[in-house]
Amino acid sequence: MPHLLGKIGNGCIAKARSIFYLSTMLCAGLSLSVKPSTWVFPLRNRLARQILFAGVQAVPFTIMVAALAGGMVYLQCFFWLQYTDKVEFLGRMVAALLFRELAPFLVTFIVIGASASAVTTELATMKTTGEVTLLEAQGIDIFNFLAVPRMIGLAVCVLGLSCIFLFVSIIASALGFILFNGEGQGPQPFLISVFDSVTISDWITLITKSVIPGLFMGAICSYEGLKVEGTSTEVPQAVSRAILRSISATVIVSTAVMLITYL
Amino acid sequence: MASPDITAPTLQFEDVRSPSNQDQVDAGGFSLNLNPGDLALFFFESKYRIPEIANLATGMTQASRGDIHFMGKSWSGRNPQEVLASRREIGRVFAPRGGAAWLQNLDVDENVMLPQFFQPGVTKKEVQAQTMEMARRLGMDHLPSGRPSRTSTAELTRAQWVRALLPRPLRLLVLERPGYSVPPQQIEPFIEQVNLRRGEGTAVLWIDLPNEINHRSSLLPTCEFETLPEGLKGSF
Repeated sequence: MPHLLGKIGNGCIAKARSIFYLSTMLCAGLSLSVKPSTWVFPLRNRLARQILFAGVQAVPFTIMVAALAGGMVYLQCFFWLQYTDKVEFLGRMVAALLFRELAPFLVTFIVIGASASAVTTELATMKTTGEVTLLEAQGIDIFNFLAVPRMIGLAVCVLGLSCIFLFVSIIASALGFILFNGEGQGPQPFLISVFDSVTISDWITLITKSVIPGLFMGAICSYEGLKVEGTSTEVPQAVSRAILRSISATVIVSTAVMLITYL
Repeated sequence: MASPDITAPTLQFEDVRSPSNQDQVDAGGFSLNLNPGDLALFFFESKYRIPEIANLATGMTQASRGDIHFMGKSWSGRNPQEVLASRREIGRVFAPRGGAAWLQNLDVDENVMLPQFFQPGVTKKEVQAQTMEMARRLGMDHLPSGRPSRTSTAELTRAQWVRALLPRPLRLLVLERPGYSVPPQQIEPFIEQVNLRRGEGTAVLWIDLPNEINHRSSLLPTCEFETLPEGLKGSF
């Protein structure tokens, strides 16, 4: 029994330590990112590449998912509100679902799928091949050079892709309105009701739910990648840990923001 | 951050024992004072040993006994930011197969310039101009612009010379087999630059294989060491 309690205790301490370490990384990354002296040419270059690979290249896929999700959300809302005789809330419901939940949540998952494994693999490989040691030997701060542009880059990507997702999914919903409302109306009434129901808190929720998971994802992937010691056989384990922890962080942050918004 | 003690020897080994059990540096405990402008020549029988003394000198490896001081301060007594700032004042040619010498996701010229961008107050244009100037002084029209994996070993070694000589101020040069795979006639401009830097106060650690070093006479070493089973044997 004491042995079991010891194991549980050790597990809790290890978990608390890694949460503390990640939070420290997040704070350090944010404080470094606001200093202009941090953004020397190689870091700006790395940030641009990160946004290109994780963000720009994910745009077509995001558009496709957004179009399908927007249509799906419209249909679900329309049929259920029609069933309950509350169709006048259609625009408000679609806006709430897209702004507050679907856009940041799905986009974070898209970026995790597209980039978490790439970032972790790249850093873990650099560690196992001695490239991280090389940077240290040249007096380059590895956190500053390797982690900060990835954290900021992923946060920018999630926020940017969320905006694209929103735009496309609202258009898809508007198409759904044209096709299914049965009254031969154009999309204007629907779009007006969507945009009228969007409040400042929806925008804050969208930004918070996009930026914080993006930063966490960058921190987690950097942490797991740079934690690898020894051989390349540890790389796949680091990648799966990074993906699972990024998903956990996304769900936890989304839930926390939702609770803060509604309570 | 405290400014370096410029009156102290550039590099001091005080009764140092390497952490590696099999290391020949290990046997007795090794001491060395390297003043500005000095050149210490080390000969290792095994090429696998070469990075060890370089790592000790640059604070990458902690000695298991004794202490190593750079510019009057122990590596172990510095905070991480001081350690990084001090390493930016050290130029290093990394040993072939001693670990990574290049970032594979950057081109060779980007690799060469990378550490210089982290010097405070330096612009991109200045770094590019200084790099091109140094490459020309070393007899190169331009730096290789491809990935390191697609560049010849001789070209990589010469690009490492440029990288090693770029830091300002350059307090210490750590050269691990700097002539590896380069034709002997091409190393002359490099030795010229090394001697020029020694004249400006840069201390040099030249670590090589006994059968590989050319132009030994033009190096004018201050001291020489060779590895023997019982430890380092030095002459001053």
